[in-house]
Amino acid sequence: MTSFFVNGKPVKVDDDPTTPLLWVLRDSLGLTGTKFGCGMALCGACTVHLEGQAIRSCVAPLSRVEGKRVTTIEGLSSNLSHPLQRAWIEVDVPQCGYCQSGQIMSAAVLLRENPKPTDTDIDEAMSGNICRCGTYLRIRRAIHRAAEMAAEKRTP
Amino acid sequence: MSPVHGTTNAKIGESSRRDQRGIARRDFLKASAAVGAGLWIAAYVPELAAGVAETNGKIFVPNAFLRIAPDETVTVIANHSEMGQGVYTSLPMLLNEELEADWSKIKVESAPVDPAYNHTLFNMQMTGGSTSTPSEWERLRRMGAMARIMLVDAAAQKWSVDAASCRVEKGVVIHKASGRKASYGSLVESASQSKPPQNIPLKDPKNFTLVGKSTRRLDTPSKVNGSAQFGLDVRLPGMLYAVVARPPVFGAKVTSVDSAEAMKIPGVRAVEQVPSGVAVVAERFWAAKQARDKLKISWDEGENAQLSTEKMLQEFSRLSASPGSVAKKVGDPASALAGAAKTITAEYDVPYLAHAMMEPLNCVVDLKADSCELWTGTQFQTVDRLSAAKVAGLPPEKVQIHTTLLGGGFGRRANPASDFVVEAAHVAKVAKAPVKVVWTREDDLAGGWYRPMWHDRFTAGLDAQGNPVAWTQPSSANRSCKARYSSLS
Repeated sequence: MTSFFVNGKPVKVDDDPTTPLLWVLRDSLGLTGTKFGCGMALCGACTVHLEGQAIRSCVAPLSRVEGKRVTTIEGLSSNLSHPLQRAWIEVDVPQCGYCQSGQIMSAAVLLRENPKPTDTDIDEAMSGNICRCGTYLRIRRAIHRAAEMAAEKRTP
Repeated sequence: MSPVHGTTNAKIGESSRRDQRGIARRDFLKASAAVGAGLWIAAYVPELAAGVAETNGKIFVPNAFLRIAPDETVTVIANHSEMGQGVYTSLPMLLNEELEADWSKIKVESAPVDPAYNHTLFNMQMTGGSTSTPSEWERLRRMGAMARIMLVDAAAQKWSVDAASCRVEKGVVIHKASGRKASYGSLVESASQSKPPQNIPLKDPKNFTLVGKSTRRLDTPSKVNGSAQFGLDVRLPGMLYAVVARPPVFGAKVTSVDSAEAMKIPGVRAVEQVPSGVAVVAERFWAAKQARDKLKISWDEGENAQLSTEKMLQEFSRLSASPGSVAKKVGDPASALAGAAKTITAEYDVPYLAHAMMEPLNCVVDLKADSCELWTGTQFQTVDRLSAAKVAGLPPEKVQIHTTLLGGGFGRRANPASDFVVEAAHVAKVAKAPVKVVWTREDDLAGGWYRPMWHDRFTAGLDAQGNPVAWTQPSSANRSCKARYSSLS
């Protein structure tokens, strides 16, 4: 048994501790918002937060998260209220949408560490997330927009 | 009784039922075909939609592409697959341009497989070639207009006024003179009794209010909170997971399998040969994959083992330098080249390219004795249904496909042999339970059906001033494509 927290809730799973977290989230816990793209930490589709840091869940063994806090796209907000979600909708970022959970989870860490990123900051922080539809320019625009929204929230 | 009729598919639906006005849907269709451009003759309601209507008489189902519920929800049935190109927004835009419902009430659902949903140009249900909008440009507007006319008629009848004196605004029928209003939702039951119109005029494009206007995608919210359902996200009760060990060389055959180590992985249910390789079925994907890594398979690699990129390119180059069949010839290029002051020759190669969709291939199959249900992101519903039916040994009508969102398509999910669907149907036979066949990224990249390798040999002849006087361009590709593709079929 491995115990950890997903989106604030305690969970216990009996998967083999070497199982990548991705498959535990998707197959055992039914949280299918986190995507499988490559299984080798090359595409970023499986990005989740472990103790607030972006990790590639496809190569993170379950044993690594014992007792720790994991956040998935489903835990970002309960009602699309997160600035990144609002910005993604406003800018109409996704096309097929398959990579976007990972994009947003990577962007969330970037904005927490750098509330006002430049284009270069964004390109560097997001370089590990591939989008086959090529939505990169809108992703960049939406991250800037989310930064603005978050700033508005901080200065009422 | 609902005015919605069973299928009018010529093969099975000869006995058309009659609505309360005594107008057979079949007669209506004949009349419609005579007045329309012929594009919407297939606008009958297929059995599945009819089932919905008959279990709940309070839903207005004017045709195969639309349902309106008393809570004002307008469900547009999308007959083209959403793979990022935006059809789950653009198709409802076409329909609602004429329906004039409240855009915020629009929901989208993927169509079941039925001839009613065939592409208007290709006579099969499919998505590809940037043709979804051309296919539906007129049909969906007529479907929306048909429903609007029936809803307005229902309101006008209720108020005993002339339908022509009513107008629609955001899903509300308005009679200005009397100040009366009725929402589409409130008219669902009476509109269901309305006579389908004989004539369905369309707006002049200069009066469009939705088409041509930048409109936010309807599917974005679901794609930013993890709720969007791709094929890989489908989960059924009791569902097993499978991966397939496919040959290292296209066309290779299994000669022996040692599954002893694989079967030791906890959760593994079965290791069985299928036509495309060796299937490993387990309670979880990860167990199936671990077990596949432990398989010891011997293959008869066959003649394709001698094939290499280098050899193929050499052969292409040789072929392009020798005479072939002429696709087009203007003038006399040979003598123009011979008389040119200067000639330039360049060879160009395009490699085989994997489509590499972000979402690797996958297919969920629930195979029972008398039915087969599939969940997958496909661009080729008609072909896939026929292919799966063959494997299942069922008539095509007993096979249904639930088209999920596609994490990219690029043509890989429009496969003439339905490779990933056929394989999954074979796996379902050995899994003996609902099963999801998952392709890993490596499976996807090594899985064939690539965009073809191609070779062009350009030769240009220039005159003394440097102006072009001749151009020849032999290409080679097909022989290898044919060999590669036939080895897979």
